Amino acid sequence: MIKFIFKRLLIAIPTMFSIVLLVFLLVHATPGNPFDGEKALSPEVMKQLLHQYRLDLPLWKQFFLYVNDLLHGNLGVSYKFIGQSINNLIFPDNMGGFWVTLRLASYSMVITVPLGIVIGCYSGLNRNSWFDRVVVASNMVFSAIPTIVTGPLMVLIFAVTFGWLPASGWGDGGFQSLCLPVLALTLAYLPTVAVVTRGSIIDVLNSNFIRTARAKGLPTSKVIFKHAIRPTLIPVVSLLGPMFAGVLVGAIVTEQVFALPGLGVLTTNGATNRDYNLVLGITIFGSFLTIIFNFLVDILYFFLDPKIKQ
Amino acid sequence: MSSAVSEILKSPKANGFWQGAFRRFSRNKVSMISFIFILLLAFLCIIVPFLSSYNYATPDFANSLVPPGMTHFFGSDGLGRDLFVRSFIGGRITFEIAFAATLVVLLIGVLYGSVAGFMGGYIDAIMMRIVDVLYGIPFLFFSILLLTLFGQSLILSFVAVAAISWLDMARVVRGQTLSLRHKEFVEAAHVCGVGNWQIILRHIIPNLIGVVIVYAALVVPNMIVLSAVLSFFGLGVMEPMTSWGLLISDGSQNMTSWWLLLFPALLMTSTLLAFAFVANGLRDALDPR
Repeated sequence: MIKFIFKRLLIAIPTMFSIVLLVFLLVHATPGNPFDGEKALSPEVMKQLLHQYRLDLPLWKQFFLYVNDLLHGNLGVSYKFIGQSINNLIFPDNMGGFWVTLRLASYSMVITVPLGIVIGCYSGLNRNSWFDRVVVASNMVFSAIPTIVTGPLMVLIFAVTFGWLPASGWGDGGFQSLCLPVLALTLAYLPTVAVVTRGSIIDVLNSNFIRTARAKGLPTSKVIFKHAIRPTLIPVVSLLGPMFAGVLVGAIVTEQVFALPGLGVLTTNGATNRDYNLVLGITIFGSFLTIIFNFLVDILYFFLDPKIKQ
Repeated sequence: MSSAVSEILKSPKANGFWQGAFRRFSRNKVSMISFIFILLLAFLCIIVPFLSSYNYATPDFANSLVPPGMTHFFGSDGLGRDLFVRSFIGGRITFEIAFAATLVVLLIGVLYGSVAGFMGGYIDAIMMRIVDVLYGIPFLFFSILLLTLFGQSLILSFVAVAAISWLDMARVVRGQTLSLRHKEFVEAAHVCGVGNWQIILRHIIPNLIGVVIVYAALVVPNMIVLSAVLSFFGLGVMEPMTSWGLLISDGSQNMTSWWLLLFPALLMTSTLLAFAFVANGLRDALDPR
């Protein structure tokens, strides 16, 4: 177990380091600096600015200092929001930034994963029933249509036409303003989870150990809950790693659609103001989350799949 | 010589792989209809802007926000521009970005994957580790970063989109190459003294075409979605030029004029579904398994 975790860490750490190196070089090796382009600054002011943001040091020194900052959990300073650290922008004291994104992503994951597994199992157990056909068809449809289309259409239907829910904005962060965004995000991933579970349980039910369990005379409920569930979940868990990265990005797109004040708005602000450091910080933070989550999924996998232990 | 054999000799290609694949594809009604729909839509995107009496960029403030009717088929937007023309010119841009990006993805992905798979050993290991590292970066942030760095232009927006989308393609191609690598015809080429590059270009890549076509049909809709998502972030295509993503984004800002959202959304949705069905049909027709 410890050896397994150690091995995974041994892969995760260099990966994270390479990502930081790559993205950092990409940002800092491009010609020009963030203070070009606006109204011409006098050479003294420019020099002062470059010095203040350490941009006058050689590249390797900048990188070294940046990694040093990262190891202390510090993502650096924003170029455009004067005097604000990026940590403060991503994790503000009040509701906003990453907290909004996290809330959106985790609510929809909490709905998507269990519900998807239940729906998938049910439709796999009742193969070719009308329910099963609906699940397969809706997977086809909803994996083709992105959130940027379903989101606004849902607003058009539920908010503008019927007026049941607020169209956009965070409001007081209550149930009503989160309802449509969470629904839009859930809709994008629920069918995938359901269909993967369905395929998995169909495979498992055809395998020998299930036949043996049935031949022993076990009741169907026991066959399913005692024997079939665990191997069914293995492919679903391996889906969760990439899905988390997807949900994170999906949450940001959803925020953009529903005008929620999360990471998405922050990224857009950074991009339109050409605030490299902010976009760099958010990118590295996102990669960090992705790698951490993949690591956790690997460990979960370890508990589910006895074959890894050998 | 029996008549059956002479029949085969007369038409040596009668049972070729591609003919079989084409027959299987054309028998699949849903895929065929979707394919024709895409062709038709692409054709409309090319000719509608020429035929229409409206220009996509000229404002006409007297006729702003006209609901759909006989003068404006899809209605008009806040500046009085005809949405019908704008939808199709937006479709043209969307298709251009998607196809150009797909081409770049194909080029990088196929070359990278086939080289990694064919060379094997530590070269393969290093190349695939690079792919793993790039997988760790959330694609949206990375493309936003690229667009922030290199400024915004049409060409760059699809390069950014493509630069992060070739990873899956490289993995698929590598897997396929690994299975081809020890086939007899490759070893025969080796024995004859053909160089590595020649083998990859002449023998490996032509045998990958089936897989690559199936996969490309999945890449195109992904590129459409990704470029639309970037439009939502205010990146990529700029006014007065437009794309489906930009039109949907604008439409969702102004919900009381429902047509601004509905028509571009319908066009994009139907296109994405059509691509999904075509990809399905291609997989059934081309996949050897």
